[in-house]
Amino acid sequence: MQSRLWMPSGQPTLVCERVSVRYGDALALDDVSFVAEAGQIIGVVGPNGAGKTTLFKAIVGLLPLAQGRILVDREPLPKGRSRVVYVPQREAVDWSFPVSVLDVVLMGVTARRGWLRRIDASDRREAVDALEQVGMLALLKAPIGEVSGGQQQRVFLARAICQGGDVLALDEPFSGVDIAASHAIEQILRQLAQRGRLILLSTHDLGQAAQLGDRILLLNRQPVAFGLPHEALRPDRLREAYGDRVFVVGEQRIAVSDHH
Amino acid sequence: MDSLWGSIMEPIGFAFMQRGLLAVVIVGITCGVVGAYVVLRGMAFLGDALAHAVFPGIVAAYLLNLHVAIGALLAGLATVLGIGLIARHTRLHEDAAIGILFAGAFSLGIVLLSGLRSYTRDLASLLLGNVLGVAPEDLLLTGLLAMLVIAATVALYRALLITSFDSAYGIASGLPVFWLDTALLVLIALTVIISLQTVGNILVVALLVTPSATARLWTKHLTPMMALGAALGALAGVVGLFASYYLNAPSGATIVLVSTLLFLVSLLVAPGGLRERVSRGG
Repeated sequence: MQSRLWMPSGQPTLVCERVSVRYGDALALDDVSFVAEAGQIIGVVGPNGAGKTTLFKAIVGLLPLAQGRILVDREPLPKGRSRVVYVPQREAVDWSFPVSVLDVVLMGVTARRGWLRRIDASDRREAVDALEQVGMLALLKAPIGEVSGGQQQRVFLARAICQGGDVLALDEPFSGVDIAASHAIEQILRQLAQRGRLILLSTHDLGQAAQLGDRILLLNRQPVAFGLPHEALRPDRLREAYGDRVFVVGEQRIAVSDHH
Repeated sequence: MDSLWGSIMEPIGFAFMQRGLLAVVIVGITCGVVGAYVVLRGMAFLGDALAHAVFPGIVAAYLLNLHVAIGALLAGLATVLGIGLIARHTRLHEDAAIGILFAGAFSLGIVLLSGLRSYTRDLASLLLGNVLGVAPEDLLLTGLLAMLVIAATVALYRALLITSFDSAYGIASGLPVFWLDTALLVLIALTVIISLQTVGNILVVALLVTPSATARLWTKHLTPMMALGAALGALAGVVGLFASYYLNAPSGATIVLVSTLLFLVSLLVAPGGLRERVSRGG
């Protein structure tokens, strides 16, 4: 194991304080506050249009805040921005661009060390190590557009490892990924969290969020609940967030119909 | 055999032909490298527009007795900035901004030029290029600009990879994505300027797009695509120039036809050509 790749640079904490984001006149996020700590996995859930992607974009500095502030390790954005590693939604990426799996991971090195710096042998070794950690070494030379959705997410995780930030923000990392591949990704995320990274991820799968997340942020433009999975995902709160799209079956099982 | 080869190579003896060959090789290589981004990022329309938009700058420089490259560069930069301004700060899409500015600029160039007595001859040479009229000092400038463009493309390689593949990640990681995109536009504008004398305004887009598109059909990786695009661009230039000599045809158009022929052949036989579609469909 390459310990230097995994060393967190401190005890990352993320503070969102009364954050609001506007698109023109529409309030996409309204007064969202929560605190997350090193080693936690935070599952962000909520119906379509709840502001999950907006929240992630605000945290990585892609959107200006209409109100409130975001602190990473007590430093406000955008100074703290480089500490947050972003894994965008699949739709945001040009998959037809001819770039290899290794080159995508090397983007993490470029993001960390500066965009004018040439890639050298030690950078390549670092990228290869990261690919090994996510189990993608065999496909190093494959064009990124030709590997499966789950493999693409693993490559993005390797890129995040190379970039070396303390906070990872993954927008819908499980969309278009089959169950087996999902488990592999969950495994990697748990390892990263155990080694001191703070992981935020959004998902449509409430069961998966409950199982994977240490804390859940249930969002519907406003924060509906933030806390341990069994508290945040109580039926009454789900009904508050999802309205009549929630069905409670028996005592335990909850189903949410959510169309994309 | 020796005499046949000798007669084929006969034009090489002329100094204007030597300069022309050197010019098409330099231009072909530069277009192949920069053209990869033009093809992959869907910027063909922008490339064509830039080739037309530099026209008034060339005419103005000619009238003011300045070097045409200076006028072309200023007009190209003004167009790039204008397109960026309209696309970013209004509700219009980029292609509308491109269409408006390039047609307007091109018309301005024609009106400026129409005041000259040698109007028709000058217009033809600007629109269709005149590679055999390349002067030694033009060749030097072309070579220097080409080296600058290629060096910048190499230096920006990793950064442009990020902005092309995943620009949201680039912005989130603190890359100056807007300025990198602008730098790419400037590189395309410079490439257009050094290509103008070879094939003229109308056909520049062919040099910028066709060799790189042909290369894309053969490879799935960016660096080989750039290398192959450069080789195909230079090959089309050399073969086209020789062919134009024997056929007594306009050199720019002949070069573009050779390039198009290479594309059509690749379309039939390359792994990423029509074959791929057929096997996928079946």
